[in-house]
Amino acid sequence: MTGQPPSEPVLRVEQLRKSYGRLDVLRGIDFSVAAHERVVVIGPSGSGKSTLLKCLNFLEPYEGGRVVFDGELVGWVERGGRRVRAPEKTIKRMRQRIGMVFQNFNLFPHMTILENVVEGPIQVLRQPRAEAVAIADELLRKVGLTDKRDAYPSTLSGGQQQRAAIARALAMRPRLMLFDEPTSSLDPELVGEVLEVMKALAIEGMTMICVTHEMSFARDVASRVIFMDEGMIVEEGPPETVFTAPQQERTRAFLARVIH
Amino acid sequence: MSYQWHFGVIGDYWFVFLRGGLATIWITLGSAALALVLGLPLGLLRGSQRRLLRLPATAYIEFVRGTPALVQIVWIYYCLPLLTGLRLDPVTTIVLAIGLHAAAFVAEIFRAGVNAVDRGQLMAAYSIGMGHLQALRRIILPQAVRKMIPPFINEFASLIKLTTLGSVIAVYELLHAANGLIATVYRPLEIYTFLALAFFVVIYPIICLSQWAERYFARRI
Ligand SMILES: Nc1ncnc2c1ncn2[C@@H]1O[C@H](COP(=O)(O)OP(=O)(O)OP(=O)(O)O)[C@@H](O)[C@H]1O
Ligand SMILES: [Mg+2]
Repeated sequence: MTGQPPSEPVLRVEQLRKSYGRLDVLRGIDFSVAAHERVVVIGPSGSGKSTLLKCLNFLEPYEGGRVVFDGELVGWVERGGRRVRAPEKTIKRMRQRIGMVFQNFNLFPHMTILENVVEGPIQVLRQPRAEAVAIADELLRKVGLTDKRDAYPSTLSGGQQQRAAIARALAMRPRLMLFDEPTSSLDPELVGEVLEVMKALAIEGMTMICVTHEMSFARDVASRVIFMDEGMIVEEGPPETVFTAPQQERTRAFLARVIH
Repeated sequence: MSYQWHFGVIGDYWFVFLRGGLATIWITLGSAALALVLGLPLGLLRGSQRRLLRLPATAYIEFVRGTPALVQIVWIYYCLPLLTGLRLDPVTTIVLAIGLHAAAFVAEIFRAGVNAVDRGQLMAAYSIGMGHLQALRRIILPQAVRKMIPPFINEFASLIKLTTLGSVIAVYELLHAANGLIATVYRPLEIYTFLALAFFVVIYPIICLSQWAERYFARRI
């Protein structure tokens, strides 16, 4: 899209550091994601997975290292050897191209499902309403929510809400999708329907980074698994390797705990 | 005790109550408008990330909430002219004083309403590329307003009661009108009882409305 060499990854993270006060949450993270890759991030609670995702689209400012999305430094600009926050416009433009799906859905409760999905395209992308609605209806069909289009979020099941949230993110035509434990707050019987939608996205070639503890999803869909602990990447590799022959003791211990 | 009630006096002097009542209504509406106009931006400043904006707003709100309304009124009436040379008539003074007083409470209601909206909503708005003001206008405020309406209605009821403080600076509102009438006809029992009932008949439904709104919006969001 921005005319860079084909080898340039969608996302490149170099020595990413982030702390909350005196707590170092991310302590030098390096990885990159090529187009159409599906990266699954696993790791114990508090290891910094959510923080990592939020740094990628600058919902949380990071202090050290670089996040480069689509060839552009995320969030900061260099000025006179110092880093200053990038102009609001630049940050907004970057966020428009990165979709995000949250553990708690975060649908807008005062809007119907359709309104949730067209909100970004109309208000942010300035799409004509008719066009936005046509695209939204197509997306709602894809996630199986056509009959809920005029319902309010509070009347939907968790699985339906999460599928609507995915449609809302997709309506922005993102280049990269971030999922933060999209099925963790769902009843077990509703997990499958959300994973199905995500699998379909993967098959279509969407580039995605997904924090999840759904090992079957990781095994079926991930091109790469990253295991994080204490703000660092401990191990990284194809799912077969990480799950069946982990190299690090910490990975082994973690997997033993989550796979019963 | 065999007191002879003569509520006929109310009917005989209805025009006194009408005139006082109109003044009370005018003071209520004027100060409510002022409170809203000042309170909303004040609440925004109070919640600002920037100290330079937040501190003055906080200081104002805490000072107003920490001093009696009656003292604020007499201060504006007697001290402000001495300090500034600006002489306000009693009605303007009471509208200004109650408006400035209620603005602090409106600001707190406003801020609490915004804070009550889940932080994830802001994250979701930002994540689809909205800016701060757009997220506030499209996502946060519509939800916050639903939470603010019941306490706003309550504050309005308080404000009606505050108007009676105007009597101390000779504003011709209901209480002052009643006092004047008592001085002529000497019927304090009937007149004060009627006054209390009149306020109750107006204020109680407003309080009920606030409680109803609270239940209504609790079901909605
Ligand atoms: N806004 C914040 N302020 C202060 N500390 C925070 C904040 N957000 C997260 N933290 C801390 O940073 C650390 C990493 O949190 P994070 O949410 O990224 O972990 P996680 O890997 O996503 O955990 P989980 O699996 O429980 O979601 C935790 O110790 C957490 O308490
Ligand atoms: Mg998390």
